[in-house]
Amino acid sequence: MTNRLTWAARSLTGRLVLTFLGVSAAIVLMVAVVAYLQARSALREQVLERLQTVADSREQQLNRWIDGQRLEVEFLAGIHPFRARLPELLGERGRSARKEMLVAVAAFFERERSEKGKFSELFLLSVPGGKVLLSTDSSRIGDYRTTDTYYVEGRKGTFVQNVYPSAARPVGTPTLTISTPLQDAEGRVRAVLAAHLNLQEIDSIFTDRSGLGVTGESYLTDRFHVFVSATHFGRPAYPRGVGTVGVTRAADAHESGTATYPNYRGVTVLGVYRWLARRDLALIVEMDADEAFAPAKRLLRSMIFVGVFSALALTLLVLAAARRIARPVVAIARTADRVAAGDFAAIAPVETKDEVGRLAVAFNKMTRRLSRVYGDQEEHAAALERSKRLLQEIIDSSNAFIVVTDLEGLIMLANRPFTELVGEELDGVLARPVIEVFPLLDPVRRATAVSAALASDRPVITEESFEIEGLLRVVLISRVMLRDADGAAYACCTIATEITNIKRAEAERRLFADQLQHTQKLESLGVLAGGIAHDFNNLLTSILGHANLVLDEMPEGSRSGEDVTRIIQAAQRAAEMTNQMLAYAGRGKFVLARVDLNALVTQMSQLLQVSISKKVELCYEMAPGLAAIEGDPSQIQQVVMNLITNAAEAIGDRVGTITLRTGLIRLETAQQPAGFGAEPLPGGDYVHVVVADTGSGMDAATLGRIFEPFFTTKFTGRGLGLAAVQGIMRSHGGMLTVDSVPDQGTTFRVFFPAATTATPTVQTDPGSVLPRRGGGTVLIVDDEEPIRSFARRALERSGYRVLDASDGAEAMSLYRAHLGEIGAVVLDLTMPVMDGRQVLGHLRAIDPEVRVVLSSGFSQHDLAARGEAGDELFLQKPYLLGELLETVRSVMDP
Amino acid sequence: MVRLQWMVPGVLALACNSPTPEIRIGVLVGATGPRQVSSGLGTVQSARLAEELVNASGGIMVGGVSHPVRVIFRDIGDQADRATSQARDLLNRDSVVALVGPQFSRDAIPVASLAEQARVPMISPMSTHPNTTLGNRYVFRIAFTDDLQGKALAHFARETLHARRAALLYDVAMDYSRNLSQVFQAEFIARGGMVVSDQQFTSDQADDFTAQLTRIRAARPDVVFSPNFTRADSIQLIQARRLGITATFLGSDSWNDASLRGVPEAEGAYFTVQWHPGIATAEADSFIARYRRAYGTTPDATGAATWDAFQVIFTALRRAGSVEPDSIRRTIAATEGFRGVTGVLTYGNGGDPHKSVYIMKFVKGMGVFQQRVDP
Repeated sequence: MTNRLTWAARSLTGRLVLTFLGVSAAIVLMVAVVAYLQARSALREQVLERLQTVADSREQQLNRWIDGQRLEVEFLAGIHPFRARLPELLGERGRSARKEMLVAVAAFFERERSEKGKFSELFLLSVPGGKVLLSTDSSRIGDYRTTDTYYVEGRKGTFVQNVYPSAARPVGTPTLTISTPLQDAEGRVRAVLAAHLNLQEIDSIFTDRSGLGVTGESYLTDRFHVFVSATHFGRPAYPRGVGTVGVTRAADAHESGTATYPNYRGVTVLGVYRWLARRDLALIVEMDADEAFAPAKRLLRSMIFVGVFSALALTLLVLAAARRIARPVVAIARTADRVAAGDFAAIAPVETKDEVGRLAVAFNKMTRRLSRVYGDQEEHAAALERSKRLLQEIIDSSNAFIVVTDLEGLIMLANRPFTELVGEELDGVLARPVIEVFPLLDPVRRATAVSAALASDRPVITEESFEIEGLLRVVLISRVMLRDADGAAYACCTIATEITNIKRAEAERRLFADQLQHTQKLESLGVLAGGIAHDFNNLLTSILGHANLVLDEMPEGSRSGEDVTRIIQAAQRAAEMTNQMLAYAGRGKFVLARVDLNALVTQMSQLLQVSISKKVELCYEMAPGLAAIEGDPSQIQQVVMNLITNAAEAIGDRVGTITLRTGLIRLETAQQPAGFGAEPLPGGDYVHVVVADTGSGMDAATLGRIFEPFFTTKFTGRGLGLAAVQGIMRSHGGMLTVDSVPDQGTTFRVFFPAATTATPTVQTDPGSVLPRRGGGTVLIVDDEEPIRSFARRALERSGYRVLDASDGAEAMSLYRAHLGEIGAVVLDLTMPVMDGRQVLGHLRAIDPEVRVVLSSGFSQHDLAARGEAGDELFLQKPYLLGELLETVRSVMDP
Repeated sequence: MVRLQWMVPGVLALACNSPTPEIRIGVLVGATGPRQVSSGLGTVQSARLAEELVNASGGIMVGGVSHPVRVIFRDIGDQADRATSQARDLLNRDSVVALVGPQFSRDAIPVASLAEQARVPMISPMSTHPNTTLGNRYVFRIAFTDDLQGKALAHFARETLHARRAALLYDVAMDYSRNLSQVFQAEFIARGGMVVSDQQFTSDQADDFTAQLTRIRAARPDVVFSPNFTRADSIQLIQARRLGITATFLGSDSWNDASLRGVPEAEGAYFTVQWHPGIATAEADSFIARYRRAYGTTPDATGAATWDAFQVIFTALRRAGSVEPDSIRRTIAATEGFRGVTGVLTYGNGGDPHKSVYIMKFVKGMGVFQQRVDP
């Protein structure tokens, strides 16, 4: 800024000179403009007067000319002998006389036209008819001008038809026609003599340049704004006439006057316009404004030139005078500059005894005093600076954010972690309100904390969290008031320590504990369910087996037979229930097989259709070429069935749609679908089944409880549906998710891991194998007496010899006693004292070739999980008669 | 003083909040004199109806702005030089964007030249003389041409009426009548007929045709071709019958159906029409209904052609999207298949549409359709 100041602004002399220059320039300009305007106004009057004179003269000339032509035509009509010889001309004295006459008159007409040059056409019209008998333009002979005004009027007397656009070719040419009647000896009008005036003649009047200067011109237009002039008419530039101010005022408003306006060439002119009512013509006289006002402009130029020159000369004089007055002041100013730069030895010269002289003396005194004071202050300042720097370095070295604010909340001190956090330099934050520098700070919370600190001698500690660049950061803020010797607070020191990582670790620990608890809950439930199921299965095996035996022995169609069938059905349902319990616990009966989900769903489609309301439409969207999965086909069927019936129930009696969709999806570890109570899935390919309904949907509260066992919204139902589904999914290493919007519908998704190894695909319907009568001895080992008795009876009926044992010891002694006779051992795995696995070990010790069918109320899968499964054939309790026989047969005849 | 002068244009510019400029269309019509009845009334009433209806529907949308239409009527009486003066007034002082009229070829021919010079489109609804449009880019007509109707009438006289001897009686000062007679004559002779009498008159002595008719009677024609205007037509017919001439009279489209209705001597005469209310089309029915509602009378051919001229101009304005005369001309020239009251209009080549000639006959005082001759 200082460098850019001009000499004029910095210097006293400069300002004086400039002011003077400005004032004189303004005066010069004002005088020049006033003179110019006056000159212009005078010139305008003068020029217009001159143009008026020209207009007067033109108008007179024009009138004289037209009147002259009129006399000429009348004269022609009067003098020539053809008046007397009209009968010949009109053909009343024979053809040859007429022809002779025509030639003579034509020659006379042509002479009149060409010699005098005043008519463009001279012609004779017949009365009546208005036929052109004779014309100087031979192409017009024979035309009819019957209705033309000059003919109609010319029959009555001499008529001047003022300028009009010609109806004959060339059409539209401004034309002025004079006509007069020709009478025969009897005074009858026999013909009309007419003449179109040669309007080019008018040009000779109007091209006269006297009084018009260089650019002036005068011209006529007709009332339609068309030039009546040979030089202008018909120019393509004016196809619709010229509508200048002068022309329109004269031709349209029939006014006469003067004006300044752009003319037909677009040049501003001073113009005089007149309406010549007698002639129906507008007379225009114009001169370019540039020319008219040229003298005024010259005057303006020379005045400005002289004025500027004298102003400059005067300025030089003023400059010299100003310099002399300003010199002592300038000397003091220079000395002041040196003192300001630190040179206290500088002394201002005392040149005069006036006010300026006194100023110099006072200034020198002041300089000496300053010089003394300044020496002490420098040391003080250096010490202060050192201690400030030390304080800053100390607080900078801390990891915490440290800010000291005054009582208004303005920053007095801040450390580097803080300035880095807010992304500013230290200088940029000092003396600014802390809530402005760090806007994330809640002003209300801060005010509460500060007033708490004011009331206390101890630090006030709060925990706050801020979202910075998308990360939630938690800090512990300690505020303490700084007080002076009298105990009055003057500043607030705020130290904020970041505890984000500590908080995060704590949260992770809590989450882990929750998950652990959930898993343990599930496991204990599983153990409980498994135990109950085992015992139930033993009981059911006995019930089913015996009922089967009874049924077999009954005659077909007996009433008792039906009762027994009902017992069997009830027991089978109980078995199903047990399986569901096991499924919920993730310990269901598990047949591992390769399953094609699309085929499975297709097989079920008929079953699905009958299990839903007729108002519900079931749509399938199967992804073709779906990868196989590994799992238990019947359990997977159960999953699908459950989801479909749930969806159908959500729709209820209304009309709706259920969509069943299959597909393959690749899950990255990072993109886990959110499942209820689900453990995260490892990344990889998953086959998923989606069941979406348009039913009533669920609110968040219902949604949170649907996987609890025995939770139901239905009036009927066993309440294990979705809990069992979830258990099945868990045991398949898959997952279940659900989205639901009240009144819009629910979408369930189940994810199965896609199969990687080649497991044999099994048919979901194993088909029944007819029992065959076998032979040999079978040893039944089971701690449950009813099962032993059922198995015995069943096998004996099929022709086997049966031994049974209620525990491992008895079994071993029986096996030894009948070594070589026993073809198969049906061995219960879960027995007190010695379990089936141990018994098997002992039997193997006795006979390595022993053939064993293992049996248990636990599933094979469950046993495998316990490490109790082997290669042996397995019979899952409860089993039916047929299953028992088939398994025993297959172990005896491998 | 000077300051004030500088300020004035600025102040005017601020104050000048102009409404949508009106679209001006000039109509040149013989509203007084002998032509008032034969063509003036139909022209004025149709033009006014077209103006009222278009303004009632909000004017004409041109380039997204709706412009009101103003029709400026100018009476040209019965004089060609008055027609040129009035035309120039409309063109230069009223700044019309298009001209409609004049209806008579004698006026239409010179006005066409002025329109051409001024580069403003003009549609003469009824002018039939070839020279009206000849060599002009800006001039159009709604009617068929004399070339067409002259030939059609000669053909009809020879082939349908089997006439061998024809007499001509026409106003030699009228371009229309003279030219049409020439066309008829040439065609009649070319078809093997004979023109036995060629009688002329001029407009300033059109009250007594006894001399011409006596000569015609002596020539014993089968048909008398008189392509003249109503007043002359009726006098001629009356005087001819009085002189005992029994030959069939042939008229042209200048014959006025309505005016001759009161002349019993017209019975059995044939004439052409550009259009007749009895030739029903959807466009004609709609026009007749509107016209009747407005004026209580049935429109004549002049009215119908004038109406069509306006609709052609309105359509062109809408399609051109501009009120510049030159773009209006281009769009009119591109008119194709325009369904007008008087027929379907297409300006393929120049300003003449291809139209059919309708031949009518007076039967019991009424014009009855006889034959349609297509070009």
